[in-house]
Amino acid sequence: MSVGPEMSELVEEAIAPAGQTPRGIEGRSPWQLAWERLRHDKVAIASAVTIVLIVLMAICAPLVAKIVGHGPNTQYSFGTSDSGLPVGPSSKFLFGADELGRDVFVRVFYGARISLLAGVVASLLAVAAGVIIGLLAGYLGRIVDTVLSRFMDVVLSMPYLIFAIALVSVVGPSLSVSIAVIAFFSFAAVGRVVRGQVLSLSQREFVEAARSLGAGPIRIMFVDILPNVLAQVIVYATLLVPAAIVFEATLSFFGLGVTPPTATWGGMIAEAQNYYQVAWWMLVMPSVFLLLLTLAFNLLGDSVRDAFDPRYTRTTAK
Amino acid sequence: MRLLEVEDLTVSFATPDGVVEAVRGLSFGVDEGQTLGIVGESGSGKSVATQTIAGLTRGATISGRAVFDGEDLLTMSHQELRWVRGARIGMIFQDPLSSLHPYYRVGWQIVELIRNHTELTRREAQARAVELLGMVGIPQPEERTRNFPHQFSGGMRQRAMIAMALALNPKLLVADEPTTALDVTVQAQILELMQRLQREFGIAIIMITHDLGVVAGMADEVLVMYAGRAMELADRRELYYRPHHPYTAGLLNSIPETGHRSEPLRPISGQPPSLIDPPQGCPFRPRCAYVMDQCTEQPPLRVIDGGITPHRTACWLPGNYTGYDDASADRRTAYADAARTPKVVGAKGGGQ
Amino acid sequence: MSARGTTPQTPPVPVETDVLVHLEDVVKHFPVRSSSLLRRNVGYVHAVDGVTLDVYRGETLGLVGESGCGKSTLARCITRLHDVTSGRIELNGTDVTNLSRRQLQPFRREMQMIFQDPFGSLNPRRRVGSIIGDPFAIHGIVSGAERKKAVQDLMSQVGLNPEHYNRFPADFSGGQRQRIGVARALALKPKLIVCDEPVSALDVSIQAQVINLLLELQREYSLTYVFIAHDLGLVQRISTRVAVMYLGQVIEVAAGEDLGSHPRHPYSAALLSASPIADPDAAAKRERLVLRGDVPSPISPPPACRFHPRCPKAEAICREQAPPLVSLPGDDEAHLVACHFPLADGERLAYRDAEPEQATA
Repeated sequence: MSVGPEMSELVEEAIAPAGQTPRGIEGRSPWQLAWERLRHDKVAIASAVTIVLIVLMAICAPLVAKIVGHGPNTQYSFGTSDSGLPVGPSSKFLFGADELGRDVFVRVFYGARISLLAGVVASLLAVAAGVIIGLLAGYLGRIVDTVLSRFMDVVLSMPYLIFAIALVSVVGPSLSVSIAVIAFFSFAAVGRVVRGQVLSLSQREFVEAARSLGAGPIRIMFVDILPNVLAQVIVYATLLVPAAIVFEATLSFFGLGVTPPTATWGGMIAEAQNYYQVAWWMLVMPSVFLLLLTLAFNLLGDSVRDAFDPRYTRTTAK
Repeated sequence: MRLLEVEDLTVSFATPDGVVEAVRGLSFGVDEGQTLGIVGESGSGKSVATQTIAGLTRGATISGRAVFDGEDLLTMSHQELRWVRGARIGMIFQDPLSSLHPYYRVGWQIVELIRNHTELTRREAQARAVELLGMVGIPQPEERTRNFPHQFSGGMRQRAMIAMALALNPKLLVADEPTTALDVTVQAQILELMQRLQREFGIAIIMITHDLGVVAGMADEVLVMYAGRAMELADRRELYYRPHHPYTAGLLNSIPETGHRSEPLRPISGQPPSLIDPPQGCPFRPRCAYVMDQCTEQPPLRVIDGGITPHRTACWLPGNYTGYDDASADRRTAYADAARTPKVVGAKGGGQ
Repeated sequence: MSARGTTPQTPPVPVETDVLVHLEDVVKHFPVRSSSLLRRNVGYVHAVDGVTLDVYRGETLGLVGESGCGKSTLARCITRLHDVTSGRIELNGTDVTNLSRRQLQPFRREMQMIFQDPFGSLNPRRRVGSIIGDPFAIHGIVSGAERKKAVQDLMSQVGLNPEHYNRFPADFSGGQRQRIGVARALALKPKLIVCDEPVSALDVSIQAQVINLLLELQREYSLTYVFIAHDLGLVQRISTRVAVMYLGQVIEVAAGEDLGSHPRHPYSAALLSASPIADPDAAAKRERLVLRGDVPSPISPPPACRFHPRCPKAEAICREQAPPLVSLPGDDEAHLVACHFPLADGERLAYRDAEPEQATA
């Protein structure tokens, strides 16, 4: 049973003076506390295991190709039937073959590489840019804030697919262009969240204390404020990764991502469009993995948020 | 029979860190038209206790009895309790926005409350709302009913909340730190208002506060709480002038107004205990200067000898722990003389 | 000045010339912006409006007033956390009003601040040792093992266990956190510490512990305090002089007991009579002047004497002419008041009209 807010307040009041609960001489950092909570969260563990397995898939893709004996882009004549249709799952092709006679099983493994690479790298870039821009806008304020905030507003209001189509038609599709596009369209959301956090943190007395000690803006931004937004940022990043993966898949689906014949989940789903009625495995196999990966990241993100902000779960009486 | 009689109230909450024993075996009562002051520091359980009685602590483990007007509030259903809470027990809090909804006009909120509980028509309820706002000292009450809470100042909101609490002529008003967020001059206004309303309507008041100064002028009886337990319960003057519990004496001594400028303040050393796994026996034991072996056993709240009015304290050594400042020493002596032979139980040097 | 003994707690009577901080006509206005897109300035909050005040070396100057009177803003002007709108701030004879952050750096070592909120004033993500060591890090002095030792010394000085160096603020109670704040303020051995309601968030019994610590440290290091509080009783108890503020202005300055026994400004008298006292008979006996209404908005403060709308003694002149802050004939020279009709000793203060108590909007 969950309890009303007044109750959690009461509990807080009741345990307020308990600050000196015996803990060792070494205090546990908020990170350690969050890690403790995360370790006891079954959903988080399951999600993490799923992610690790898919990472292993990506790493082991060449090995798998060797074992199976099928290259990711090799077209096998026995992969299509006499009438030219792809053959279904069998001992030869575990996940079936596609319309060109390529091994879907091996391609799913190789596709994991692109998805993870695009998802993680683009998210990291977006988070880094978002944090720096958010910090600058939030802490420096005034004209810096106006310029950066308006810029982020513009980015957020741009139709990203049209922009991507236009960009790709100029510079040509490639993995790095995909990553750049994803990062560019994702950083603004992070930047806004960080800016809002920084704005409220700047009003806190510990920031005033640092200023009264003579700390400069760089020190305040990175020593005093950044550690306090990091938890939020990490939560946001774990939710950004699946979005970026889907984004990459979308780009590949429209042929704006990685150039064929490189296997990507999005590209495979796109290719399956014309065949799924006769070859369901072409659609289902990459989709299942895409779903698993994004779901795992999303659930992990939720758990991380709960771990950092235990209020959601803490006062739930049994 | 007393208006409210609380017996052996125990409240605990389960939290991931352990069970918080917020209130442990608390007993007290209020008579009609009387004011009971409950004084305690944060974590003393003073708010938890009264909120439990009013049915506002869902999810807690509760035991004991709280008989109000012949009915045990603790065994009532949620529905019944909500009825009692509105109509017969009025509540005011530190934050007026906990009873005033920010999105509705003040007048509308009072009218709805009245109409929910009575047969009055909208027009009659409206008239009553205006009357109530006027009664609590809000100028132009008619126009003010059309305002939203945010258009009121802090003191005015507190007044509106009092008006709302009194709308259904309750017999008991529970005031949980009603002036803590206010400035002293506004606090004085609100306290005066509460006293005036009590005189006019004979309502009983339970006044919860952390400030001994707030209840000094208005309470009939004062209950001092610490770590979920009652430490001392006595008539106001008894308590202030002849505290018989080291904690009460310590609290009085910590107040900066008492004592000489040239002396340091006299704090109570140490920290209040954690309510998760509190110390065995008297919770004040770790900070008490008079601690002895027997204190590992919780002393009962019992009547001591020599008081002019019944004076209860939960201490094995209920001496007279004055040692208060000189300004009030005369009054204290006079008070003690009036008691003629104050028998100091125990041989303690704490008294004078 | 009135009879004030040189007791251990009371710093010696300051010599007039020994001014540590000099404030001259300090004004701080905050723009109020409309919520519309253009964010035009629609007015100013007159937080501090012309404060002239000296802080003497070694004294505790108490600064009291209700919320919105500008006492915290004034504190932040003194420590230069806010740039002043106009006026002059001198520290130790040097004009520091318009110094840049870098130019101010050496002066920062001489003035420190202790904050109100024991939860908000310590960075929750940093270890206590690094919080207290911050002043050393920022000023680039004392590093490595030496810094750790210095921090641990500070910790034991303020009554914290030095072994708790690596704990986080969340592991401490409110009172202990304020001690951490005191240690941080003390690190650079400042001359002046501005205490912004350092104990108002603490329980009474803990309050007294922290106050005693502050008093001890003052004696040991000859510190000068500007002590801000809304609790007049506390301020009177520990201050050498008390300045009462109302709506951005200082309306009365006097030695603590002098203010208690001879308040001259009606507002000071009302404040005194409103503060709760934990003595039932004294509470019953004293004559209370319950002020009417609330403090007006500092966005458009009343003209001339700002107290006139609530003052029982107000007359026409109070609405037209602001009274200067001066010493009255017969009073102690250091007792300053800004009132056209100051109270005489023993004067009863009451509203003349007999209308029932009613708050004004």
